[in-house]
Amino acid sequence: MGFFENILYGFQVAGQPINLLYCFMGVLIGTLVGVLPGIGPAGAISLLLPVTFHIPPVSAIIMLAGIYYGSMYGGSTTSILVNIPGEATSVITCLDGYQMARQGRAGPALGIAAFGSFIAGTLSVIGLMFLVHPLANVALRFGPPEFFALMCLGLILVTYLARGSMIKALIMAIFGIILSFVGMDIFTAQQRFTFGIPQLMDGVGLIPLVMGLLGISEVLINIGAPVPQEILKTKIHNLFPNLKDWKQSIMPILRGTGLGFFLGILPGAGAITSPLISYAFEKKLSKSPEKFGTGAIEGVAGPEAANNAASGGAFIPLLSLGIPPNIMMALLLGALMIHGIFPGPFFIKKYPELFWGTVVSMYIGNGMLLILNLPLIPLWVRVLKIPYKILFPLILLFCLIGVYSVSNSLFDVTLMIFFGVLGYFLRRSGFELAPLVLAFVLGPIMERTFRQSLIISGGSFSIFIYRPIAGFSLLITFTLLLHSLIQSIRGRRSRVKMNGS
Amino acid sequence: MSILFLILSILICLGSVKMGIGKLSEPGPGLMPLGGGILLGILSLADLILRNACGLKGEEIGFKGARWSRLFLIIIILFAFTILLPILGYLITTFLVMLLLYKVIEPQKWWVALLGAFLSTILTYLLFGVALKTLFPEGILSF
Repeated sequence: MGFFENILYGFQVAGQPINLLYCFMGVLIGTLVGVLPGIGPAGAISLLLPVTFHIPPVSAIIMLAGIYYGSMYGGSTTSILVNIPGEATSVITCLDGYQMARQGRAGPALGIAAFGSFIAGTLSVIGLMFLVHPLANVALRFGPPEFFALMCLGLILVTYLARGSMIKALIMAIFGIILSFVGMDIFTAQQRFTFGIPQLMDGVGLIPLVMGLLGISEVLINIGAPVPQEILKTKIHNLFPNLKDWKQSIMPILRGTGLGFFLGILPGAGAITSPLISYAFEKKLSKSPEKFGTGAIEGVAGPEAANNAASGGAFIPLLSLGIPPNIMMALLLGALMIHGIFPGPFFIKKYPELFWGTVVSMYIGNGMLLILNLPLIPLWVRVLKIPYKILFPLILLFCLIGVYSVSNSLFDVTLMIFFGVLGYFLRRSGFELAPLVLAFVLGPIMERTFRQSLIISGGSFSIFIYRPIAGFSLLITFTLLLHSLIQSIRGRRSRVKMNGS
Repeated sequence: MSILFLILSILICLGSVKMGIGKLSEPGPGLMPLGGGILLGILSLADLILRNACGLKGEEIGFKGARWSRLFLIIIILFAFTILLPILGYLITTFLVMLLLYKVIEPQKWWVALLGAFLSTILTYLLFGVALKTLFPEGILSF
């Protein structure tokens, strides 16, 4: 099939009423979790993973993808109106978005955020369609050593870009890999770390793990420290930016799109870092950088475009290599694995319905989001007023029933509560959970490729060095590790000096 | 937490050796867990040293201000759900658990708690029990 036939086929799949409904539900839930500060897209996707178990894989992925890019839209609303980012990706939007709202320009700020997101989201889907195929063709030449090395690089990048201590992030990644070893060994069928518990023979389930770590622990943390919510009392009018606003914003939107898209492809925090870089970039390019932070529309347009474009770019390594670049993509990979589907170089050929259906649904979803985010702004403002004390029991209930509905197992529910408590203590102790979840999903594939590589090479580690792609990936991996080590020693020295003086 | 990870790493290493690490040309089921255990040990030790010797606490929120009583109550209520579900069935257990969550953790007015518990029980039953055909235990009262 040619390119256009594929797109038409994608429209046939995504245009089916049931898939349109799931796409709408996805973007609606995405916007909702983007608006609500108490729960993030990773938490929402993990809450809905059990639901996807009961529906066809195409509909499931269309809905989960919708939650991901939908949350990028919704996150800006709280940044602009409340000065609290709904998502980590919208932190920088607070700077100028909130200032615009205080000056009575909440409408254009929300409008340009929605239009910028729409343009970026749509362009990034086009980029995704063009890039996935060539990358998948290159990946056809990859063997186990290349996949193992690339996964190591992906994990290291995620830990390298962690917000807190890199050592702690690495501990989490290793812990995640070790957790994935629980159950039967894939080569010898020997039981590992099951402690004689029959329910653990198939390993720790992804759903109890993520719902506990991301759902339950989020509630436990928020119960400890409720989020203050004061909505700015301003009239929201002129949602359509005027010509001057567009002139100021169009180039930041396009630059943010390019930047976000390519950063989104890289493993790590593309969607989080790209708005920050876009903001710095726009400030540097601006003729009046002093206006940034006081309500410059470019400071909203660029970063909002960047975070949406990054969400499109993030699908590329997942769909072409089977390597998720961030926690959301890891959850999507988990959802596919629940249905027995493993993305990789053959993904598009084996599952054209899934690939083209999802990609085209993202065009449709972006259109739906524009409609949801402009006329329905007053509704989202109302949603913002829902107190957390009403929401948290519902989140807990969804976790409890969600896990139970997948396996009808109360053991899995208990396991989820255990991971929830563990997640609480880990978060409080400064450990990030994203590397853990990512490593848990990648763990079995990493072990398989590592052991296959050793068998192929007759036990020689040189297979990871002499093969160019594997060698190069591992070289970058070790360089990043070394760099972070040097940085931490330097930081320690300067801190010791500061304490001494 | 790092001290716990250090202890865990020792246990993992011991368990991995027991499983059999095999040869490099024929890796056994314990090889990767052993590697993971060693790395976990080294990293936990490094974190402990940085934290204690140099006072680097990273991004810790810490436990200051943690509402322990509410936390324990939530955990107890969640565990109660797992115990009561097979005995009382889905509808009664969920209603009771939701009522407790609404009334005890962040106390609401009675009518809010009752309405919230009732609506959430019915709506989740319709979604999971009816639409997604999840088989919930009926319990002693058979509903």
